[in-house]
Amino acid sequence: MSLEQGEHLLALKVMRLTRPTLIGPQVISCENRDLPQQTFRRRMVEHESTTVAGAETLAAGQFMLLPQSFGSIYLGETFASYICVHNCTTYSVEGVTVKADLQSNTTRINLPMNEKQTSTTLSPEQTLDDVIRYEVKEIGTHILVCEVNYTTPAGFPQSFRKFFKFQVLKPLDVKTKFYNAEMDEIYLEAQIQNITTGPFCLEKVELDSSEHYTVTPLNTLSNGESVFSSKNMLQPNNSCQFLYCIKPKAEIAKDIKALRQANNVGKLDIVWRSNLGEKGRLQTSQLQRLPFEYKDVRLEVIDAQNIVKIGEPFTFVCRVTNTAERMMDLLAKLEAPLEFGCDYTGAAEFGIGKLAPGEQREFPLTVCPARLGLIKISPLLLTNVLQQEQYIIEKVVDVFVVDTDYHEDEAFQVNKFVRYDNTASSLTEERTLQLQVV
Amino acid sequence: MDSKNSAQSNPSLSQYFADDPPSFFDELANSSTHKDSVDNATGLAPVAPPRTNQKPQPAPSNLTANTFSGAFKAPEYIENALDGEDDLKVSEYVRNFWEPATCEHGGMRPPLLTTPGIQTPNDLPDLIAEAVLKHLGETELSQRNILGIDNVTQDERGLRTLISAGCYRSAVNLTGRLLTIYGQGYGRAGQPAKHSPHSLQLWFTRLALLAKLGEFELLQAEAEPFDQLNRPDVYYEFYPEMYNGKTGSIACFSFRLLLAELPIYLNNPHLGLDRLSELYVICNEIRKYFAGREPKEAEQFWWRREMRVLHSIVNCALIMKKFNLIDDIIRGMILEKNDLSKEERRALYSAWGRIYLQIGDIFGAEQKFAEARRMREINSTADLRDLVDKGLITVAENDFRGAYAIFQKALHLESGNTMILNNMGVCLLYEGKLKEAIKLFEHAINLNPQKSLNESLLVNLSTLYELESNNSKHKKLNLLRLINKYKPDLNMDLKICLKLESVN
Repeated sequence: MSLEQGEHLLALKVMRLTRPTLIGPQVISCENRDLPQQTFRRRMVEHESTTVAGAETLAAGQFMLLPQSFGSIYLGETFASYICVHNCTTYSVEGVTVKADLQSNTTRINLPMNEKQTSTTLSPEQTLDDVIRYEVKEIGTHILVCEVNYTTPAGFPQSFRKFFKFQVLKPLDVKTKFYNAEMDEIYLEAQIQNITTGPFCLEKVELDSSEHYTVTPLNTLSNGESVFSSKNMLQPNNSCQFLYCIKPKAEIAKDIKALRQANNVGKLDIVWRSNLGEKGRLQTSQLQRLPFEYKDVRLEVIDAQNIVKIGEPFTFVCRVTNTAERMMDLLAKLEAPLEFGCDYTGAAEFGIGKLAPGEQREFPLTVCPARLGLIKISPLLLTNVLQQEQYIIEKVVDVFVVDTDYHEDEAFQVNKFVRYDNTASSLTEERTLQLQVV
Repeated sequence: MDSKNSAQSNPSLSQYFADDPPSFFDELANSSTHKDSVDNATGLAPVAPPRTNQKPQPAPSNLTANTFSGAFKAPEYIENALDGEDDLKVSEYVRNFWEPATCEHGGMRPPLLTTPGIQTPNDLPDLIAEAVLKHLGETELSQRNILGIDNVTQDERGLRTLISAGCYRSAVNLTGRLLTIYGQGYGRAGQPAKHSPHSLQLWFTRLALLAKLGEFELLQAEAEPFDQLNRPDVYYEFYPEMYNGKTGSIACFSFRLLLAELPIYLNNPHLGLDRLSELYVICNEIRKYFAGREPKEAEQFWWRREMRVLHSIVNCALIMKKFNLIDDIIRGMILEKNDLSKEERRALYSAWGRIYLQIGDIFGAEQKFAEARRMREINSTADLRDLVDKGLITVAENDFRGAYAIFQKALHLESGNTMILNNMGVCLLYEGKLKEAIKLFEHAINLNPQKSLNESLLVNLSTLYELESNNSKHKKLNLLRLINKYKPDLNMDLKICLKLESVN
């Protein structure tokens, strides 16, 4: 025997529980000399419970209002819903159970309700109810399937189901850009865009490094404050960019083969919160760094200043390693075009000497910066005179050139000293990432 | 039931659904499911008892109108002398200081004048009475006994009596009567009018009340002739003989503020923000003008007005979700203005924290709340403000049980506080305690019907009634009985408040 839904002895009600909203009063105010005198204010303070004492004319409320619509749900957020079965008859109904499943395009998951799963008897007007929670792990259509089973007074088993459909949307867009710097350092720029319809706050954006690398986040000022002035708050469609410095751990930094193989640098772990703390969390897949550029020779810059003054000679120390299987006799040549507006002067050409396979040698180079801002010392040509092979090191070192009146101890003023130009695109690669629930 | 097996073997959803957009609990069972909502869709019938009637209906609620012996009681309204208020000492010269807009056409055309008039031939109806009549009948309506327009003196004092009793519609109707005496009643819009401080105060009061009541259409129509109070006939200069050479604005500052805020109510917050910014700039200029000039209190007085406008800008920015703007304004108010008292600073920090919570910045909110606590008396124990702040943080951290306990502590400090009881009820629901939540909301109403029968608590309780059962209409009509007895007016449509029209 099967009953039409409306004829069932029990009613099933479902309500999505997004966070409550804080609501304030409808503010009207006047001055004491105005006709209403203090009646407006008194009325609000004494009779309207949404008014906040001491801040009567501000609408920033403290009164919690239950959600009045389904709202949107995003990947990585927790779907919470209240499920209530009500006995609408005037007699007891036995053997009542409720089962809630969440079906997505690929999976169907049972969401446990009321720890005691055994069936219950509902007396008139009594309810069987609970909150179900589930962190959504998939984008797209989901259906909450609720099934109620019970026994009629005549002893027949009965059941009915209700379906509630909703869409899970993508909350963030994450783009990454890698940049191989000198001394085996890798820099990662991660751009996170809010593609939801409301503002949210990025509570945590961390790069969890893989076993071969260590990570230093570069997103705080020396006093520990965030570099972002607006508290990591992101309005819809706005983006926020995070920077990380990634270094290979000592044991693989020495071992060129291991270094070449260790391409996974880590995952980005992102936690955000929106209305009244509604939380979401997502992780990227493993990020792959760019391959290191060297083939037969490896150039490291082992000692260089970050900031130099214009016009003052600047010396840095390079280390060259023969990573090939053959003997080399290297000649180094640093080119510096002698033209107006060039970044630096200091062309040099000299012999480094013979290097057996695996052998390394250090040598200094000196240039004189001629332009303010970030300058790139490049290229360095290394020629193996034994076989007439030439290696072009496109990027030797970057240095930041400041004016002669710059003092190291003064607060670093970004607007005063930093000039932006396009980063060498050949060394960076921009990628949009897939996101997954942790 | 037949789809059970196929759903498990084949997870494709297309068999159930077309690509329709999701709606609030898009219910998808076959069409027969809609029948279960038919019970209550008949609207007018007072609660069809469900199913069989063999047994007496179990009492569905501890909240029936019969348990309430009380009824609406107008608070004793005493006109107090208002002395001791600093701003009353400020002279009219300072108060009305405002430069009339210069005439753009060099006198070629007669200047535009302000010619207001009431835009409705009838008094505002008592919407609660109408709903009671519709849903509960005349007998029930006879229980309605609230202060009416004819129970008060037909003057300013009567107006204040109505306002302080919360009888806003009657107050609006009284302004209508008084403005008709001034020749600015129904049908007079566009006719020449003479303005006095008193007539403009009546208009201000009327329009402010319309805003409060959410009667935005009428508000817009009646506010329109005033524009931004920039026409020459609302300045004393326009009537040199009558006012003996006085200068400045006849209309009060609160009126200007209300008109600047008006576009916000009419869904154009951008324009509202522009107008408020303009108002702020003028206040700022006037304050600077008075700096170092006599009378001494003038600068402070205008600074207060500046602050008031900033509050309105924050409120507008909240609607627009311009949180960066809010951040800048509140920071400016707290850090740059040393004239704020400790209590004012504390209230601002706390409001700032609550705004951070709205965007999910728990750390930021905690910092602001900590600043607020620092403004409290040293060594004093946590007060209501602290506990509410802490409770809201705990809600944001998804610990509703913890939040409930904190709100409960706050309740010990102020038993019967509607806001606290409401917040506790909300926490109970998120913990899976629907019945207890309903009991708590009903308890709040029992304790203080006049205060607790407020729009937001009613929305919460009606939401829970709907979640609880198919019999919610019955319980919602009980609420209507109580509103009938206790509430002169609601600022929200009853349909929204009690969801009376919903099909459950």
